[in-house]
Amino acid sequence: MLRIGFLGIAHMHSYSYIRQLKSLHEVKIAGIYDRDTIKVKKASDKFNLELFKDPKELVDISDAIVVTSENSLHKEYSELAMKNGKHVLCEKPIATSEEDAHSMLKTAKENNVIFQMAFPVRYAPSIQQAKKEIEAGKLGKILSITATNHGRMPGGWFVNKELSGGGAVMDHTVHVVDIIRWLLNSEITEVSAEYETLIYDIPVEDCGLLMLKLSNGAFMSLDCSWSRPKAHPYWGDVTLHLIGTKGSLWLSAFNAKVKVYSNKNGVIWENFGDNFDASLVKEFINSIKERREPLTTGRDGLEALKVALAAYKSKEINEPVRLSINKCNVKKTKGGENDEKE
Amino acid sequence: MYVGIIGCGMMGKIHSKAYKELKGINVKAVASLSEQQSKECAEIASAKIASIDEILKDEEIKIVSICTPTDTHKDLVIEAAKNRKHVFCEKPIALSIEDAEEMVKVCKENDVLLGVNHVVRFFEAYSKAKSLLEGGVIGKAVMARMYRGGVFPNHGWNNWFNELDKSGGVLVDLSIHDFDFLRTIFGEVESVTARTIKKTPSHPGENRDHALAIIRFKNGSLAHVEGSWAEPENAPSKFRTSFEFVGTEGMITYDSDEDFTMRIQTISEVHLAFSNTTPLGTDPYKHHIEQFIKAVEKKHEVPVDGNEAIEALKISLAANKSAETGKPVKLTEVL
Repeated sequence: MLRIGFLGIAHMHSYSYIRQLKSLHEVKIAGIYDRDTIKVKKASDKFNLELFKDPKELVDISDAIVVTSENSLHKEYSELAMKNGKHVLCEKPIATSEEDAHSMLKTAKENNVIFQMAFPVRYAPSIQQAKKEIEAGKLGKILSITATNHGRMPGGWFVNKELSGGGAVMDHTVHVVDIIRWLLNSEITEVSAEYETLIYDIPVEDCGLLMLKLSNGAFMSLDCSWSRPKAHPYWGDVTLHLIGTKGSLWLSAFNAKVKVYSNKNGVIWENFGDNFDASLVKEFINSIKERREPLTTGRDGLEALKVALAAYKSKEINEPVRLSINKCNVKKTKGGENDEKE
Repeated sequence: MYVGIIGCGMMGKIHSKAYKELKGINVKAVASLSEQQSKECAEIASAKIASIDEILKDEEIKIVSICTPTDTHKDLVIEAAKNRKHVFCEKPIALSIEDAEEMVKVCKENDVLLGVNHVVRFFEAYSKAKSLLEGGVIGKAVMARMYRGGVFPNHGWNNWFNELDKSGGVLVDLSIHDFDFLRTIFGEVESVTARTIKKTPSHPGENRDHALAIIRFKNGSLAHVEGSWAEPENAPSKFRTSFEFVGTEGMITYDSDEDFTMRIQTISEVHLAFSNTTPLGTDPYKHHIEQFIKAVEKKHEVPVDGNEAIEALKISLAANKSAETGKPVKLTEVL
């Protein structure tokens, strides 16, 4: 039996991960901790989980830790767990600064623990299938990518820069950057960005458009805006439009849906099929059991964070920001034409 | 009133049909380098086939439609203006601001009107969205995503769409529709960051064109524009347009592949195997031309004049420049 503790339940994904982990036979949720006593009490009551007042106490009785705190606390909680020899599944973005992210990777390595990033979209069946289609050569060499990761404005600590590290750009850049790095075996080499607070009266940006350059020569735009209105029947989207020399691919990762028109609840899109979060937490459990690297690693978290931070810098200096690529970052699979240029 | 049409390709036929349906308007003559296409156009418009010179020298002809490849617009518009014809020119107005400004100047000097066919303003889905935005149904519009594209247009005379010095590429020929429409919503543009398969240095020699542009408007609004001639030729849907306008109180979206009224699928080799269409009671080209004719009759402003066409072209050229340099380009840098 694997005992898993939760440090921080600030992110909305906490509840989903708790639900998914509770459904697994070989897992027991050891308890939850959050510095917000009201928030943690609510989750504790809802899921009938033991509530801890000291994060170290929870770490001590756990085999592994899920960190779903505010972004700026990821480092503190992850390292607390790692230094005590516990494996970590950390919510995205990995941290709010590159220094913090580097420190987390180092600590994980030194303590020989598994450090997984929670990038659930990479576990989406359509993304997994897209990887196979691209590697089968159906699209030829990919030249252009149009991507979106829209969402609703989450409010709360997400709009507090001290805790979140930024607004829509920090929140929604990393998911798509992660899947593109993986799909094309490529790194992002340059970032230009436009962002602004246009929709809501909040202290961080709610709209953002990024233009990226990839190490395989392709270019890519990414819309990371919190621009889905409350009136929309669904929270948001992850979409990709790939143009290759031999074909094109359009993908909407959350579009496996039925449309519900309820007099009681209004218009709602309900998903069918595999839950991405279920696959994500299963990967965490399996990589612990098999003592292997998970599909989405801390390194992936760092590379995605670099792009979000470069986007902020790009607007500040009004110039594209170049990122240096560490060649060993790119895991070589049979990407063929879409491999990084030598 | 008599009209002449120069250029009998796809747009020449569309203009012919639009004029034909207008009361009191007669297309007197059409001219084209293609005998076959002249015949087709003449038949649609019930007109005779003539030379360009014959059209320009014909004193009865008051309006000339220019439907030729973009690189010929300047000379033809200037010649027509010098012969005292009002000119209704296909978009884009020209391939450079210098040329376009000269066209506007010569038209003014000769006291003739110049209208440029930025017809998307008259497309029903777009004009509907604009009136909804103006009505405030989603608060203040602050952001947009526009898509326009599909398979490569291989119907052009000598495949001119494929030549950058004739068509300007997808940003100048196609996305200019969205640039023009966005101007009517958000006003003037501050800067553009764009990439295109034909202009971006990492893509030498790639044949089909495809472009992405991020636009910052002077009022702070942002827009993403995608234009494409890169979908495979055998794609069932040959052409698609979509838009998304985000406001402070909601969102308006449209997608021609989702929001349509009729689908036809055939086993025919003559007709398209697959098409999604939305037949409407009105023809946007006819609507635009009708307003231009009213302007000629001094009953209306020119619906889209040369100066507005220049502003749209500046956005396209800024986008092309950004694709070449990899940097954001301010509109003031485009001369």
